[in-house]
Amino acid sequence: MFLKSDINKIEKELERSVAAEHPVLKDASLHLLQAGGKRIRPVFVLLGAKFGNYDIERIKHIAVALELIHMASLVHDDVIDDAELRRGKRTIKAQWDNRVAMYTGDYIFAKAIEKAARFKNEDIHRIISQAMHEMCLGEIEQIRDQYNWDQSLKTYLRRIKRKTALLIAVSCQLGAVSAGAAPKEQSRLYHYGYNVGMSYQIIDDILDFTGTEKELGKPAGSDLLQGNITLPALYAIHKNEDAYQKMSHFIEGSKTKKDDVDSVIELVKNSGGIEYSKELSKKYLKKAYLSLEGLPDIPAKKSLSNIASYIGGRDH
Amino acid sequence: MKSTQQSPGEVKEIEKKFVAMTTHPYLAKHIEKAEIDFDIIFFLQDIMKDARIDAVSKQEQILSALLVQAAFLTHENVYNKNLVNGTAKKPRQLTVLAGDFFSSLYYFMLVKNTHDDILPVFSSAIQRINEEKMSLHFAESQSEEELMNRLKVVEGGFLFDIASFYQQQEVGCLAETFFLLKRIKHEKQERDVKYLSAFASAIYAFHEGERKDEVTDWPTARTRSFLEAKEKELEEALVSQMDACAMQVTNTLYQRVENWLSGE
Repeated sequence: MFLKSDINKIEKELERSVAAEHPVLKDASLHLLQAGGKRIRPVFVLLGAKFGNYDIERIKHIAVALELIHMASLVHDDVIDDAELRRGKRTIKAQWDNRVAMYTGDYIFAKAIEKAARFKNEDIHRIISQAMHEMCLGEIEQIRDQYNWDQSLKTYLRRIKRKTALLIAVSCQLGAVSAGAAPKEQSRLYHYGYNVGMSYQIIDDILDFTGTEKELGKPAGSDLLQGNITLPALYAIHKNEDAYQKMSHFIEGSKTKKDDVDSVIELVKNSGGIEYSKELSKKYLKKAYLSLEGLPDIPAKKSLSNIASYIGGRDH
Repeated sequence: MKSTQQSPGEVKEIEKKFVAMTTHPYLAKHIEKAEIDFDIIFFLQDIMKDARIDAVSKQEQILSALLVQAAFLTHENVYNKNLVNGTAKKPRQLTVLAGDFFSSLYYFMLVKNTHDDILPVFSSAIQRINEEKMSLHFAESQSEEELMNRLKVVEGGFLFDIASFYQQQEVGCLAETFFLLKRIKHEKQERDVKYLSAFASAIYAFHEGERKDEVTDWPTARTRSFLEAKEKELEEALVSQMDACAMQVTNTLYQRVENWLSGE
């Protein structure tokens, strides 16, 4: 990819940013950084910035701020989920403990704000702070909606917007804002990111039913086991009374048998929920391509289009 | 130094806004609501009394500081205990998220009306405090003095940094002593606690030689005598700092601290 050397710069800047004085704080942050991740948000920032005056030395700070926000939320998510592993590596809470995870997340979060504070641009701060605020609300609502078998499609869509699509949308938009791209282009990039993010999350939710444990790195149906009702399950609930009856027996705090989960997975697969979700995911992708149409024909546009195609074809 | 009598209405207004911002219906159902620390308001009003910013900006910065403090206190309630049951996990999950929610609000508040200059003060203070929390968590203090200095940063470092920004270091030092003393008094009174706060855990580890999250004997004889000795030292320090401060006795903060010290 033509951004490789700039991504390396961001990687180095990320390492510099988490170089805390305290050795465990530094180790914990580096541990998280080295667990990798696709650095999808920085890529979107850089591609968005290509539509303006691209200056990597300036833009990298926005990319780093957004990745740090994402990282901080992951550290705290692992406390929330009581997770032992993330991307095959022990989580900070597992390697150390909850308190270390809380301090690390808070430290990284403050670091992200320090990075963003370099920009004397009101729009940048407004966009980041609103996104952070909404992401938090989304996470609270995700817990609120667990085991709520009567939730609506609108509730689900709002949740995945806040959980995934928003930070991707904002990454694309902020790249453009920080590079001084035209407002119309900033808006198109935001909508591209939003639609790609929605499509990405719906596919993730499909894979939770269709993927194998090996492919997913966790047992199939994990979302359901945690009471998270995703689109394929939501469709099945509305279309199949049997599915509704079975799923509503999954109650918070009780131990669900693997056989029961397997039988619900089959019900969801047979309900048409997977096909419906694929269709909706495609609709979002189509909107993402449409958002790109008005943008100037530069290599970054092709890259954004390729990313959308990759997301559309993702099967694990 | 001129006297600064704050109107009770102003404090009420800040409280009202704080409650409105931090109240979330679902959080309110499952976890304790964020408590406002009125002492922070009085200290910050004094710190900012000569600042060349308008009343609205002052209020926004005070609200932001209260939100940071609420985030700190909320995250302090995330313990290390393993929770097996899914229902029992919910309060912990929401405690983590509530702290993050308050943090997002302080940033939101500060950028809403472009407090660009103080934003880095907030973020660097939060980093510094978390560094010290780590040192306390891993019981790294080699001396009582080192332990006390770290506890002082954790309890009052945030206000100290804001005071330094406004060139009010004297009030900043006073804040550090005051908030450390306040915490010591609080921890000393804690009885039948099962899970130690991070603050108590650091003192326990220093005196008992091992770190424990769950205890049955807080405060131990050693920690109790340590807390009593430090309480006395800090009370004396606070009185001499107030005398040394160029603060008039009619000053609202002066009166508040003095009343608090005399138990009123």
